[in-house]
Parts: sequence; C-alpha cells; structure tokens
Amino acid sequence: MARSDLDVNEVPDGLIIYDGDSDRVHYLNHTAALIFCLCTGDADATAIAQAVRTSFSLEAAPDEAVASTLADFAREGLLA
Amino acid sequence: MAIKVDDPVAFAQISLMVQRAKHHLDAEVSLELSVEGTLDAGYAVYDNGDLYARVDTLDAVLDAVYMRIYRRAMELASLKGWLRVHGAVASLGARRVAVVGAGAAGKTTLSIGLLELGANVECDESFLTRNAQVVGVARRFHIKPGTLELMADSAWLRDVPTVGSLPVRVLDPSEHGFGWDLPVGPITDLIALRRTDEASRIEGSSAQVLVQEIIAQVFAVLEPRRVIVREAARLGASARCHVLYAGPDGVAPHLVKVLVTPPRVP
Repeated sequence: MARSDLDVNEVPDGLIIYDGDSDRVHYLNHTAALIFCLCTGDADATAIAQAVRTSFSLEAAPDEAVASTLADFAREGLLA
Repeated sequence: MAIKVDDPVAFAQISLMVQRAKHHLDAEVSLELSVEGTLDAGYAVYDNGDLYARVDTLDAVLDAVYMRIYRRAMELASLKGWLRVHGAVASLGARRVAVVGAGAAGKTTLSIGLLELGANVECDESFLTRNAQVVGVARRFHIKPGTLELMADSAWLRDVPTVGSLPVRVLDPSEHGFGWDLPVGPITDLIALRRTDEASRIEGSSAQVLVQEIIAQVFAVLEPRRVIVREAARLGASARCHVLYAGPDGVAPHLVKVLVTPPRVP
C-alpha cells in the first residue's frame, strides 16, 4: 500500500513524489504512476497487473513488470 | 526603497544599480538604506538607521547595498511562498518563456539575443514562481566579458556602463530603447538551457526533465524541500517543455523566437 504521507505531484508525464523522510524525489512515468495509484491496499499484484493490462489495452497482463515495479517501490520506501 | 548616499562617487555607482522596470506588484515593505563616508575615510552602510556594514572600498559598498536589498527582498518573497529559480524570462507576442539554466549556461547571452529580436526580456538571472505564476526578479542584466565576445556584432553593448571595478556591464534595457516590463502571470513555454560546442538546436522535452532542472536551479532561502518540489512540479506542468542546446553560432535566440512565434505559411 502506498504511503499516505508522501507529497505526490501530478505532471503531464507522470508523478513527481517527494519523500520527506528520506529527502528524496521520485519521478514516475505514466505506467509507474498508474501502478502507484493502484497501491491502495485493496488490490494485490495480480489485480494491479490486470488493471494495467486494461488501461493500456495490452494482450497480456504485465505481471513481471508490475512485480518489478512494486519491488522498486518497496525498496525506495514508497510503500507502507 | 530609498537610499541616501553622501559621497558623490558612491552615489554615481549605486545609481547604476537602480533599474527602471515597469512593475505590476505593489510594494509591501519599504527599505531605507544610507551610505555615509568617503572613499578616503571609509564607508558605513545603515539599514533603517541600524549599522549594517563598515567597508573600505567602493566595491564593498556596492556589494553591501546590493546584498542587503536582495537578501531582504528574497527572504520576504520566500515567506510569501515564492520560489526563486536561476533563469531568464522573456515575452514574445502572446507567449512567455522561462529559461532555466545554471551559471554560465548562456542565459544573459540568450536574453540579449532575444532583446534584439524584439522580445520583452524581463530578467536574465532569476525569477520567482508561485502556483505556476512567474515574475522576473528586477535586476539589471549583468553582461560579462564572455558575453561581449560572443556578441561582437552588438556594438551598442559597449555603451552599457560598468559598475565598480569588475568588468561587468549592467544593462537596463529601458536605457537603450528597449521596453522592460515585469508582468506577473503564467508562462507558455519552459526551456532548459544547456551549452554545446556544436550547432544550436532545440528539442521537445518532458515536464519531469524540466522539473529536475528547476529543482537543481532553485535558490533555496527559507522554504522546505517539499515546497520546492511542489512549486517546481506546478511550473513544469503548466507549460510546453523543451531543451535548448546553445552553441557558439548565435542561433539560439532565433530558435526560441521561431518556437514561440512560428512563421505563418501563406
């Protein structure tokens, strides 16, 4: 689940997120931004991948890419 | 702001720091500085009657006056939520461009080029931004020897006075037949300026690239970093984004002009 204390700024090409705890700025492209926004705690990685598939009209759910992105989010401290 | 200067030599030099740009913001704070003394005896600089500095040279007087004014102004601006960014701003017709770049990237050279192409160049060193609104910081353009060399064909620049002992000319566009207006409002285009040894070129870019550039070029005063990121993101999201590679060919101002005022095709 995405941390609720992050400063999330929307720009035309994605999100710019400031983490006050680490004093770091994260730049998320459209896909990463969508995945981040879906990290509400209600959907697991599989459901998120399905949502991405639908949003981008993909033939298959990008399970591996989503899992990798979520791992990045966790490593960067963006998830609670 | 009022400055009282006893010594005519210091007065003449300090006068060269005064700019006559047309402002659209109401003054909120009044500063009263006074400079007492002479070149032989030394100077004392007072701010609202309080001693601020004792200095021995004319350059030190100029520096003390300049730093006091701008430091106070930028602190007040920061307290009011304005973010100061290293950059230039110019208006061409209905479009308004903010150019962000590090020191020595070529902002002043580009600014003078745009001035000669008919732009209202608002600032060449820094601007303030808040909620995607932009206003140029009112300061004479500082023309360094390197800029003069690059603009050898612009003979009028040699009429621009220097101030103090530094070889820097201080340009007030309104003293040379150009307009100088400082509007407060949105921009239409945001450009990251980079220097190149190759031919000048301009490329479309993304808000994220420009936001990174803005953050890198912020003069942080009192604001927390989250405010810096927020205001940079607001500005980046508000305009078309580009990267301008300025080469020694002098073409960069023309690229900017064509970008914002494309020629009509009959």
